[in-house]
Formats: sequence, structure tokens, C-alpha cells
Amino acid sequence: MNSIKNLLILSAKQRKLCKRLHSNRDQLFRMAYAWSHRADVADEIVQEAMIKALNSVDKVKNVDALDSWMFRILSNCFIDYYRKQRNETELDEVLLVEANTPDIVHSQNEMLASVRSAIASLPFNHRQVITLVDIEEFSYAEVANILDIPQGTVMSRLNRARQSLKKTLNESKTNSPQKARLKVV
Amino acid sequence: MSKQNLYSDEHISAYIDAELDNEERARLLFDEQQDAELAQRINEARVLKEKIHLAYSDIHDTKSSKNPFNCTAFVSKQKTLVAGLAILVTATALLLSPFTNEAELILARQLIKNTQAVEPANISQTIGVHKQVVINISQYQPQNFDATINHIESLLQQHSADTSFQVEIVANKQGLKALDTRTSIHAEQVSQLATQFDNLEVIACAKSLARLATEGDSIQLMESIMITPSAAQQVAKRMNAGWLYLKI
Repeated sequence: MNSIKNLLILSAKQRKLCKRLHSNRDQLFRMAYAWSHRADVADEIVQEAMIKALNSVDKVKNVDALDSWMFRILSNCFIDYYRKQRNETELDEVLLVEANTPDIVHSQNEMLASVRSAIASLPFNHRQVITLVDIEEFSYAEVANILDIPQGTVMSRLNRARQSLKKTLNESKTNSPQKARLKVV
Repeated sequence: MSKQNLYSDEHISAYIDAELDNEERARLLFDEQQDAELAQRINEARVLKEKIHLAYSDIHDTKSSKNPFNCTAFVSKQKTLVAGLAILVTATALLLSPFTNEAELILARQLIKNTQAVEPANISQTIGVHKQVVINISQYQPQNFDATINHIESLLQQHSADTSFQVEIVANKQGLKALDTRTSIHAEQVSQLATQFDNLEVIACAKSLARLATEGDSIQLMESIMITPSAAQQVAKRMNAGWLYLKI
């Protein structure tokens, strides 16, 4: 008897997703890095997200929405990763000192380094919204879909994140460089 | 009178993010040109957005190879091959570039791991009308393999006039022992088939050869056997080209 378990040909959806994941890996990695500021963590989370995406591609109804769907999986994997790491501590309560970001400390471009440092200091849910909008240029509706939150929440988080960044960057102009601190939601 | 207080920060954010409808956008654009303080607020917001965009523009994933690795370049016929060479092939392949497409590779690894094996007696029925088949052998049980290789030979004979019919046997892990000239009773038969039929390729996984060698189990292959850096890569490549995957 031929069953799906022993007769295997890749579906058109799987092939399309394979190609899309391959071409989007850089974007996924950049986003995971912007959320974690750690290359090793970003790599692990992207791998996990790819596995989950490949396993659930058959659930995708609209192939054109693959991009936001992949970022949604990435976001879920990121939260799962830190939940496991923190052993079920409330993620909002966790504050990490960002010790492994020599790129920030030694960056040749101080202005961009200070922006990264300021982003690292944002609460995770603000950081997620601002990076999705400003780095990957997703629309508010797409971000709402990726993070499974109302569009109004996207707008208010984005606004608070921008105000906070503005303040931090203005302060850093007058003060000596602060040690980056990374909040994990 | 300044109009800057008419607009909230959220409104300005929506403006620079192209989230306003045309009417609102036109109104704010007009006011921006009339009001220097409002223009200053909008400019600051734009500069911040640009800085954030640039802050991560130099972050690149080292695994996203722009020069895809071509498996076929490393599938080469070898004279009697020892595992030491396999280690070299593996190391070279991994150093050059890890794989063609990581997503395909992940999928192939999962299939290799999770797919149920087909009974030798069901091979013909399972293949059915498919013309291109990649058969993965990851264990060697002489009796089972005997039936398998006989079925494959029979299939190849049935399709001897059909040039579109192609079979690729990819051996990895313990399945490599079926190809070992020193211990397998089937090594010579497999080699003869690979020589006799142009539409049959028998491929050994270099990673598995290297692993077995480090465990003191060096495999010796006949000259007609080809080597691929990894079985998963080979399966991924074939499946992406629409081949049927079977696990024995």
C-alpha cells in the first residue's frame, strides 16, 4: 500500500517555500539578530523557524502571504527560545546585560552603534515592532498579523519605541557611551 | 500660526511609514511645506527611521551563500576508495559552501529520518509510473538487500529501452556496508549493475564514510560507486527536481 509516509514527492508549495526560505534567510537572520543582538542565538532561532515552516507549509492558504507568515513563525520561535532559556520566568521581568556585542562597542560607525545600543535597551515588544517596520519595512497591518496584535497596538508601540529612541539618542550625544543592555520580553 | 500641534507623533509616524490615505497625506504634505517647525519634526522622524534601517544593514547571515554549492561537482567516480579520501572530500565540500539550499536540506533530513521504509516486495508497486527515483539505503540486512537489489535489477531490465527512467541509490550510515568490497556479498553485484545500466547511479555518502572510518570501520568501494558530500544533499537535490523518494 502506498501511503504518504513511503511515497514522497515534494509538493509545489514545499518547493516554493524552500526557495523562499533560501532567499529570505538573510532577512530572517537580520531580524532575529536585531531582536537578540547575538549571532549564535539568531542562527539557532532561524533554523528552528525554518523547520517549523517546512513542517506546517500545508496549512498556508495564501502563498503570497508567505513572508509575513515566516516572520510570524520567527517571532514565535524567538519567544519560545527565551522562555526555555529563562525557565519560565516572566519574560518581561528579565533584563540581560548585553555582554556579547563587541560590534556595538567597537563599531567604526559610532552613530549606528549608538542606534543599535538604543534599540537593545527597548522593551522586547517595542523592539520587535520598530525593527519590523523600519528594517524590513512591513506595513502596520502586516506587523499586526505577524505579532498577532491589533493594528492600534502596533501604532502605539511603534510611537513609544520611537520616542524612547529619540530620547536615548539625544542623551547619548551628551553622555559617554552607555553599556548596552538588552531587555528580553 | 504653527500647525505642528495639529499632528500627533503617531500621525507623523504613519506619514513617514506611508500608512496615511491619499487625502491625509496630501494635507500633511501641504502643511509640511508651510510650517518650518512641523517640517523639522517630520525630518527628525525620517532621519531616525533611516538610522534604524541602516543600523542593521551590515548584518548578514554567513549561511546565506550567494554561490550555491553544486553537489554534482563533488560526485565523482573514484578508483577503489578508502575512507581517508572521503574525509578529505567532506572537509573540502563543507569548507567551500555548506549546501545548495538549507531549507531543502532540512526537509530532506526530516524525510530521511521520519519516512517509513518500503518492503522490497513493494518496490515496483510503490514506484508505479514514476520515472525518476532516488532510493535511500541506510541499513544493511543482507537478506533484505538481496531482495531489494533483485527488484531494482528487474525494474531496470523492464525499462531498458526507456532512457527517461532513472534510478539513483544513495547509501549512507550502515547502508554503506552493502557496498563494502571486503565484507558485503552484494558489493560486486551492485557495481556490475551500475556499470551495466547507464540509468543507474550508486552513490555513497562521504559524511557517513568519514564517520564510519573514525569508528574504525573503513569502507572500501568499487570503482563504479560515486561519492557525494552528504546523502541529505543528494536526496534534497533530486527531490527538488521532482524525483520520487523511497527509503529501503
